[in-house]
Amino acid sequence: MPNPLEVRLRIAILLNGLIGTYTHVNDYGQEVGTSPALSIEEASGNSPDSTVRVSGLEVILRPNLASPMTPLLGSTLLSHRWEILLKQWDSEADTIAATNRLVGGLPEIVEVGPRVPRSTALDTIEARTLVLEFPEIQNLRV
Amino acid sequence: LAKVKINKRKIDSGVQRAFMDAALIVHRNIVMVISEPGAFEGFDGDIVDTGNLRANQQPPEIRGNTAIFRNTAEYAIYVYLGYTFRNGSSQPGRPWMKLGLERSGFDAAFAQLLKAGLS
Repeated sequence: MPNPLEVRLRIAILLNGLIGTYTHVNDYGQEVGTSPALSIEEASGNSPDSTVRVSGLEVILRPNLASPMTPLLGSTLLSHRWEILLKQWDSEADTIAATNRLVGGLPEIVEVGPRVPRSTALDTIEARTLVLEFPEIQNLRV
Repeated sequence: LAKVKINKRKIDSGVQRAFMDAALIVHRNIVMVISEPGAFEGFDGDIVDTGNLRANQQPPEIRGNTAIFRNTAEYAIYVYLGYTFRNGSSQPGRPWMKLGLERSGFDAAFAQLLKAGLS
């Protein structure tokens, strides 16, 4: 199974120029710095940090969500399932270009979820989830 | 010389019938999930609010060897996949059709129905 930081780096390269910005603010609401809006969510499911403002396309990598096992010729096949969550905070933009680049550059993507469009009635933003699978064989008997 | 012959027409119609019946079992389970309190972790109640979502769960559409399950409520996609508000808070999805399908044991149900239909 790959290191989440390696996958994060691959995503950053693929989405060069599309990723939005995290603006970090202090307790007084003053801006103290910015960083690319590309994060890794821990298994516990981090809630958005209130000291961070997001603009543009936010990309959240969720590693190790599940690892279903399948018996395979005396060994075990583990399919590690990860997710990439795309959130578009810019109401004039969408997640299509980012989806196309990721699908073209990450062969581990096995599922492309539908676009959840922004809703003015609900005051929600556009989002989309992509599922990645990293197969791993364990206990291989030679 | 010995010959064995199968009744292909009977088998084809048995397969089709079993497939449709298995799809209806899935549909029933999907509708049950919509109305089931606590079906999804983190949500104590059921998904039903006004009954609109349940009423818009369409019967399975059979296209050849595929059964399509669809909900036509305008807001279904938001409930199903979850959403994020502009203020940053979010609501996780409640994929009721996926759960209904998982609970149905489709393969086993289909095999059983087919066996019954052919015997």
